[in-house]
Amino acid sequence: MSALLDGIAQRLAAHAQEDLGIGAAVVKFDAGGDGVLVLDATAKPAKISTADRPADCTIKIAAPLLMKAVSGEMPCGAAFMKFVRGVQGRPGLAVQIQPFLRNVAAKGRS
Amino acid sequence: MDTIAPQGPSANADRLDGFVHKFIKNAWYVCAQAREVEHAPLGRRLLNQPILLYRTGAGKVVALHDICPHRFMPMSKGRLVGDKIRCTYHGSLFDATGTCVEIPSQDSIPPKCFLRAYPVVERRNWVWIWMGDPAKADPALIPGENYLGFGHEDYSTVDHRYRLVKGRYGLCNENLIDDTHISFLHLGQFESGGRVHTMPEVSQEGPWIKSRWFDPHEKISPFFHMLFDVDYEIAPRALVGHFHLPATHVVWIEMYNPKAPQEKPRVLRVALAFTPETETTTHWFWAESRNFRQKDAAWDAFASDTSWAIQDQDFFAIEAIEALLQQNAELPEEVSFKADAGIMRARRVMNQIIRQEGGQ
Repeated sequence: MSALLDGIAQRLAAHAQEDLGIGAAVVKFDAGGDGVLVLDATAKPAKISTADRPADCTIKIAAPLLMKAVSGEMPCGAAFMKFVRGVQGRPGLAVQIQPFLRNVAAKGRS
Repeated sequence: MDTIAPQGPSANADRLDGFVHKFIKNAWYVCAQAREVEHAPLGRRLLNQPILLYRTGAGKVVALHDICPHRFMPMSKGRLVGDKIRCTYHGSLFDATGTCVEIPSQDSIPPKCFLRAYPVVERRNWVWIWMGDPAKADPALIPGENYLGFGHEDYSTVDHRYRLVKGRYGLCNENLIDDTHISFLHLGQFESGGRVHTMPEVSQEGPWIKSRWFDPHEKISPFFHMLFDVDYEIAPRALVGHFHLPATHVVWIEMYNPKAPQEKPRVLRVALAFTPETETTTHWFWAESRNFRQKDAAWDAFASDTSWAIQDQDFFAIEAIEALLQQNAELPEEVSFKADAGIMRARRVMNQIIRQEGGQ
């Protein structure tokens, strides 16, 4: 697991009390050799973890590019459009998670 | 030794006729998003003419020539007095028809003291203006709002936006008609790059030039998996483009369920209107709607952001070409490909109309 992915996990974990917008589902970001980031909204508050587990939706994206969306360096939607290399499971969850990521990015900037 | 014949500005000007930059006046153009026009003066240059737009107290949109006939002060710098506009320089007051009703320094009003009024029609998101002969301004010529995707009961509007593009409207039109750039300028977003090898069907019906590209076995990109909320690896997909002369486009993507292709497809519909500001700059109006995931804020944001990001790539190309055209460089003879059939048809028809109008 990379330090970058760990940093993203910590950033998201600070907002785990908020509604992730995905219902009772699990979304996983698969960053290849850098590891995975799992957002588990079946628990309240949500669990943010870098331990691998099955998910309802797996989004393949490199860690530095995911960081662009989470930091607000790039609009979240545009980052997903350009950098997501694959979506497995329920693809709609990859859209439903975006308002949460946008919110994290906005609060990180303020 | 090969030589290059010297070319001056006039030679290039002739060659650029294909890149339509002259104006068709007798047509409806979008002049503003409805939400831009308020009870306050808005100045906007359209087809090289300065136009004043504002909304009356009753909500009616007014379009007047934005030049005071007294000393040519822009009227949009003035202020509204009820539904009338007062010139900020010497105080002349004009009503919503452009009639001068007061000159503070004298009692009489010269007959030539008026502002030209332009026909305008507001249709949901957009305000349309007729810059040519007012007697020919038939609102029935405006593309229907259901056709554009506004207010259609099966569709919800995602968003609508505006940008001033530093490129002639002919380049904007051709970007929309041209399908084959998608495989390169937008590589990886729309599809996987195979589409350039197939030809669209092109036809003309009245003022519409239509193209339809269909692939029964399209490899669906991750972006489309998310955008259309589908998990198909391979699916039938169509890209349809309708160009309503001279500057309105409706483009839509049909995504079919490969297991039930007879079902109604998921459709993402984009309406675009390009209104010349000058010969080399264009007001670009965009609106998008869809027939699935209706009124879903997460999809609205995703579709809006991504559509605009894709258009940023188009702006990049259009503005790069326009910048080059303005360098007055020696241009090679333009080469067109088989896939440019729609563009060539549009050029022919538009140039024909421009010639009929007298080539303003």
